[in-house]
Amino acid sequence: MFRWNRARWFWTGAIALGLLPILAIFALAIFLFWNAASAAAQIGLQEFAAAEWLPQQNRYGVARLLAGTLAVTALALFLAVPVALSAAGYLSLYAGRKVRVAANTAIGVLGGIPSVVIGLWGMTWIVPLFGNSWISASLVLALMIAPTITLLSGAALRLVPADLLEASRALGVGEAIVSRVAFHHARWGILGAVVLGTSRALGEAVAVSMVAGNVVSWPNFMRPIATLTTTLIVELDSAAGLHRDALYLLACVVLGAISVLSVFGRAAQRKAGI
Amino acid sequence: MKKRPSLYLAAGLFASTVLFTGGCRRPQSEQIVVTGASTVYPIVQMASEELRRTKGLDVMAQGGGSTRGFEDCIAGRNSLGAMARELTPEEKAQVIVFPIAYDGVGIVVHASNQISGLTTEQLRQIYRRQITNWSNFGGREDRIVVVHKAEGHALREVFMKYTGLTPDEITRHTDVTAGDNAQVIRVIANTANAIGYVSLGEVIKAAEAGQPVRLAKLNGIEPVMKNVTNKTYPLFHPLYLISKGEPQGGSRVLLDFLRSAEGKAIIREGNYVPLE
Repeated sequence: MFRWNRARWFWTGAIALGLLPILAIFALAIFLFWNAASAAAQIGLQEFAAAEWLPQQNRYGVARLLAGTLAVTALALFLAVPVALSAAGYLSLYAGRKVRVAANTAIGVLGGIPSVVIGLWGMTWIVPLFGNSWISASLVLALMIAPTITLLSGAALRLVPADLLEASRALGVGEAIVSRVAFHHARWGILGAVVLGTSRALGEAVAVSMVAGNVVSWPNFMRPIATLTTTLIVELDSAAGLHRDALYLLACVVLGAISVLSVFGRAAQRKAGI
Repeated sequence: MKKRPSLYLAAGLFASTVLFTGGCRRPQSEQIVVTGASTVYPIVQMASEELRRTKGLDVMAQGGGSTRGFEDCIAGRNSLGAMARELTPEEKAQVIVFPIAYDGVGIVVHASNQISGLTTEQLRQIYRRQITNWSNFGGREDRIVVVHKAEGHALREVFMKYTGLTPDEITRHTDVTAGDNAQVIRVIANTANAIGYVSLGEVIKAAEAGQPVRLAKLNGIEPVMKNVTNKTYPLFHPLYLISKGEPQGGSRVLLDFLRSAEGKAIIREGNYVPLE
């Protein structure tokens, strides 16, 4: 007989709360797919792969939006990765404990700034320089993903055994080679950090929508650009019917891409022992 | 004690489902739900506060755009739909339309912009990129940043109809696409050389709240409520509530209230023009 006592209440509660996130993500995915499926059926693959996104004329081609997302993300990575990896390398391999803790705290705070605040900052400082453009969007995005990549790859670099670095130094090679040894040893963790940073970049919407211009077009450095997520932001609140379902389809594409990248990023990190 | 993990798991899953779906209760039957155009939202919101206080009526307003207001109405998902644009003939045939008010559309620029006003033709030239610098209108030497509303917004269609712009011209010449009124205002407030169009009342409210935006004259007409009321200001659009059948109960009360002297005062307070 299953009688309720304190232990059973405890375990039931613990399992219920533990399962809640799983249930939530499934509910979300089912909700999105349900809404997107009818749009997918009505639009058809050929039209969905086309370039024209003109909801008022029932054209729902995703190609330019996808190109925009990839372009903005790629340029953001190009800007953020060298800076983030250099910072992570210095902080993990050379900085003293106090400097490292202080810097990591500051970087953590930077990573935790709400995206609308970063977007406002971008509007006042970056847009006057570069206009509402691909460059502005990527700069803002780089600022948002650099902390993630710095902290995660820093964690990977700190797992490099000190023996290994000392042994390298004992061979009389320069510090450039020593840090290459460290980066090589931590490569899986760093890959994981970059991939998780990428998935954050793909999903970011608010800050990017405030500086990108959100005009659907092929990527051009100094011209406005629209991504999957910025289109969601500016159109969702007034979309109805097929238009709204098509936006859910965009959300599905973003969710799918982020899920794949997150799994891949975590796998890389696990391989590195993080 | 022998553990029976599957039982705990089942109980846990059940409890978790209950927790997760606990928030999704059906609305009470006496609740009046209005969905649709966000421009109509403030009016319904203000009326609902008054009606809750005086009549105990529970009115819930939600945005989502004019087309959503129409579709929800047809599908019976709302009590009344809100629309901020003219209905198409097919739409008109399926619902009963109640004109509530109309709303001026303001041409909005940054507070530091020195231009006093534009003509409809100049507006067209700006939005077609035939003129690209503020110095052409006596403003400072600065590129004009063109702000549009996103696809699906009523004001975008109102503006297109007024200026005669084609969808293709819009995609080619836009610098920034913004969603709702607040987003447009935020872009203009942060971009000294931008121009956009927003519900007149929203700009007046934003300027009163200290945001650095202001309205430009259109064809020499001051963009003030008085000129919208006597229709000398040329750019405006109607606001409607729609109902699938003859409105009953709470919906009727809300409609009657909005057409009463008290309701009209509330509409004026929100910088909209009630119907006389």
